[in-house]
Amino acid sequence: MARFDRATGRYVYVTIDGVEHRVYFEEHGTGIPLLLQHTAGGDGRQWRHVLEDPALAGQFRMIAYDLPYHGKSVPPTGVEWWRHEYRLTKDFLMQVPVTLARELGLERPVFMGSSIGGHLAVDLALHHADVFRAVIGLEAAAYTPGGYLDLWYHPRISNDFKASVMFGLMSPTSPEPLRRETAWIYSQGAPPVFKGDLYYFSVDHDLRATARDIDTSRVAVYLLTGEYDWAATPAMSRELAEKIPGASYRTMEGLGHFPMSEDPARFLDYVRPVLQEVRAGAAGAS
Amino acid sequence: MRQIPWPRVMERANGDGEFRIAARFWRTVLRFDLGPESVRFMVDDGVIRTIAPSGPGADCTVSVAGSPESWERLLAAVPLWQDLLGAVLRADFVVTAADPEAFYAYYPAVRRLVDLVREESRS
Repeated sequence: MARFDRATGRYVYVTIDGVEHRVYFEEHGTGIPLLLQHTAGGDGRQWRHVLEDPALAGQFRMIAYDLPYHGKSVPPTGVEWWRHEYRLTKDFLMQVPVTLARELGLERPVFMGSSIGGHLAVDLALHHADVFRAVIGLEAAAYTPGGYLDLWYHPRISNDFKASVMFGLMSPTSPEPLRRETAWIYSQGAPPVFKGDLYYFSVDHDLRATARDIDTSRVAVYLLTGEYDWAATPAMSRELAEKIPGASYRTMEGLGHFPMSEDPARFLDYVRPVLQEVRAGAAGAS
Repeated sequence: MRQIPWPRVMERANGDGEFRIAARFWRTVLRFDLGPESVRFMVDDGVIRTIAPSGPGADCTVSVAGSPESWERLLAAVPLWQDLLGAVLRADFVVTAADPEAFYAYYPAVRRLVDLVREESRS
């Protein structure tokens, strides 16, 4: 008898800025919709361990998607993307989960993402509070300049470099096989994608002046950051949380920049209470 | 500053599968400046041929320089100090290379070498 994972994958077509994208996603569970966003240069496989969690699956419909140009979401056929260097903008990135929520018929989903996904969580809280009931930003900060560098997309530097740097962003206490898996995924991204994603991470995302405008009475904001994350440090996340009235923050000890994939068991210990609070809020509102 | 058994580091690196893969085809002279002390690694075709003390300005292809305190934190892998590049981007270490792309192309080998120095300095 074959042993299968519980998550199942399929494609959905979404149109953003007049361009049709074929977006891959994997899902498991029933209940409150929970959209899961991967990091820059990664893909939805980073959530594979969380997707398998039976307790969460009993309460949440977890959906981990690959952004266009990432993982199994190959570039669109309707534009000559090969004539321009890939670059991820805030406007495009925000439209992906918003459009997915609409196309999949998700009712006030929860959004959770790490790194660019963490930054995106707070941008969504600011600009799309009507779409999401709560956002959970992992490794989020108001502003993280300095990462949009040519060395991330250079003909003389292979994807091994990215994988190695990402390995060093994780906690040395996380299980080595899972850190290796996380780095492996980085070695597989299309060469221009990581640098292009860092345009959003380091240039287009800037909440220093606007974080205070987020209304947590409309969308709850939770921030959690790994203590070993030197790209978006605990101090940076705490500072962002302090700018957002009503937001909460917690440092995740023993975790780094990729909590959901480098040590999912430890990560789930931190995120379960947050998701239960979201769930309790939903029950109270109904 | 902790004692680092450099002959043992060379033996470990040359017998380490991860380092040997990351260092394939590598030819370089790498210098670590550990505060006032410096050591040079002569690397040929991915194999470390010698590790020897040198002056801080000794000829090299690339140097990695940090204070004794920075090296201590890096080798202890305390939070935010578990990775050399993170420390370089914070300006806690300085990398000097005539050919920076060549250094970053072999960063996986350098990172693994630091791991092995860390392990051997604890033993």
